[in-house]
Amino acid sequence: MVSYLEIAIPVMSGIFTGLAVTGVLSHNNAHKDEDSETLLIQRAKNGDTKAFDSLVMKYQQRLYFVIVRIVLNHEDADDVVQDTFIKAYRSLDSFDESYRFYTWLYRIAVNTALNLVKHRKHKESSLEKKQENNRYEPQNNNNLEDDYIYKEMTGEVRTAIKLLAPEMRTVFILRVFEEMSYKEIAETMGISIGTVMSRLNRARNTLKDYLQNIGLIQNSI
Amino acid sequence: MKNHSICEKFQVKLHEYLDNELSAEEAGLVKQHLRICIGCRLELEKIRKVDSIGTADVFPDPGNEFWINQRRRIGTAIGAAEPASYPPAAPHTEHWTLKPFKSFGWRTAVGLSAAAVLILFVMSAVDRLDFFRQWTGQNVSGVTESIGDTGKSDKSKLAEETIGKTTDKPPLTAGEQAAIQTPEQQKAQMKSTGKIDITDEKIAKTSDVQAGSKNEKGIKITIPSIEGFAAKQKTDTKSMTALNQKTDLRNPPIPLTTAEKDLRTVTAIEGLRISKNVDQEFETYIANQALINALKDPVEQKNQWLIYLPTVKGKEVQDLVIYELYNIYYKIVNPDSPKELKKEALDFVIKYEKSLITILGEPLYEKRLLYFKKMLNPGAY
Repeated sequence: MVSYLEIAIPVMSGIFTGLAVTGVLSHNNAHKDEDSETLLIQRAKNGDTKAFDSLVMKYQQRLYFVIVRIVLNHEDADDVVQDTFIKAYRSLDSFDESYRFYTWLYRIAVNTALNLVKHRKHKESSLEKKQENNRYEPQNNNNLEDDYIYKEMTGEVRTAIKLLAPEMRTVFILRVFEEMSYKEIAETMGISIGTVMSRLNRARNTLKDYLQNIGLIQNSI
Repeated sequence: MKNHSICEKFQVKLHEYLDNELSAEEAGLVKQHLRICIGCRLELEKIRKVDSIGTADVFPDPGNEFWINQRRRIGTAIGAAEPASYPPAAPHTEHWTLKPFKSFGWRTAVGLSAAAVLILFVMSAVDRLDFFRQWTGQNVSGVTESIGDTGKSDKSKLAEETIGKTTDKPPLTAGEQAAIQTPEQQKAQMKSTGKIDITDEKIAKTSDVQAGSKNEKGIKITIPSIEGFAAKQKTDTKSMTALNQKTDLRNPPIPLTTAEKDLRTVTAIEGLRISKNVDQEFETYIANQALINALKDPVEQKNQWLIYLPTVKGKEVQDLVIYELYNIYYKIVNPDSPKELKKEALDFVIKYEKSLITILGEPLYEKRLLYFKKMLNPGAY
């Protein structure tokens, strides 16, 4: 008669071995990633554009999806990401390798985005709105109902984010979407942790009021 | 139960609590307070909903061609020689809560695959064990007996219908099997495990009748038994009960403790008479939802809910109703909700129109109704 232990012991040891292998490989992978990134940065500093292209490939999407939530349209996000990488390449010599590359990249990107938003304010026009509407069509339009919900939600979310002042919006996105700590946000934006907290609170309160007004959350308890 | 000055003190800390920015000691204090304060828990829930705006996937991936072009433009700007070809960018997988660039490397994948193979081996080993035990004449488990029972009760059939008959559903767990047992089977099992005493049968028999009936103080609401809800669903297929029943059957309430049994026949929400314009059935539904949600919480929080709910009065009742109502709305706006759920929700809104107008106010109700209708018939509005 087979006992539970006869089956359980080899099975459990197998599982632990599998998990340990996974853990070790992941750990090694992370270290290798860091090493290869440092190497890429060093090569890029020496003018190796191919190495820099690898860094662009690694970070362009991550950066884009944060920036598009700050500038709120695709074309500006594209411009900001492009400018960020060009500026980064040109000032690579000033990059201190004891800091994380992506934090440094974010600082450039956020400053570029905020400058653009400030300068863009006066020329915001219906043309831009038209472009936005055309650009964000859902990719799968087989289902009309899903399309409708998508558009409706997109509209509400965008309207809500647009209510926030650019600096507030940036803090909110870096915290909620990018999951940065208050300290990382403060470093990225060059502000104090206290300012991060007050901007984040104001952002959340503004959004809460909006959601209450459109009836998506209750008014009070 | 609710102390406003204390709550204000804690609510200031909720943002930092949610962002993991509090010290362990402070976080512990907030956590402790949240266990006993529904107001602050609802406030925390609101912040979470607000945060979902920041992560909503409303900015689609511009596509691989765009990423390649962008790299080409950057390359040109920094004076890079045009390569023969650009390898495609890593696919973007963001959808609501998933973030880009959170994929793992091939080594991790190999490791996980190894673990997955081992897990499969475990599963097959368990199967073999079951087979072996059956072969040797041992009773495998009560669960196997239930599954093998061909003489299904009405309750089982109803539960099957509710859960869905598709064969891709995973087999029911022991808890789910318990949930679809007949009341008699449930009681027999509970008695055998010492989780119910004989006097509880009387309560169980009256519980379904009491849900929705009124005493001089207000509506009498009991902690809903699974059979009560299944029966209600059978006769009230167009109510929102059906919406939640699907998940409730798969997450049945755990057997009640003595303290909970004492509360079982207590008038749960005495002050629920918000207005004469609010339909009693609607109120009962909402109150039952609150109780169902409470029963899904961990034991400590669940007990706090059960103590809190009977004390709810006046404005707090209205808030509770609105809170539950918005939970329904969130199900509707979720693009993953099946069409029939949306239809049922619309039926529910229309059925309880008067009550909803009373609670929400006419303009807000009109807006929500239109929203629901648009979702169902986009072209017609």
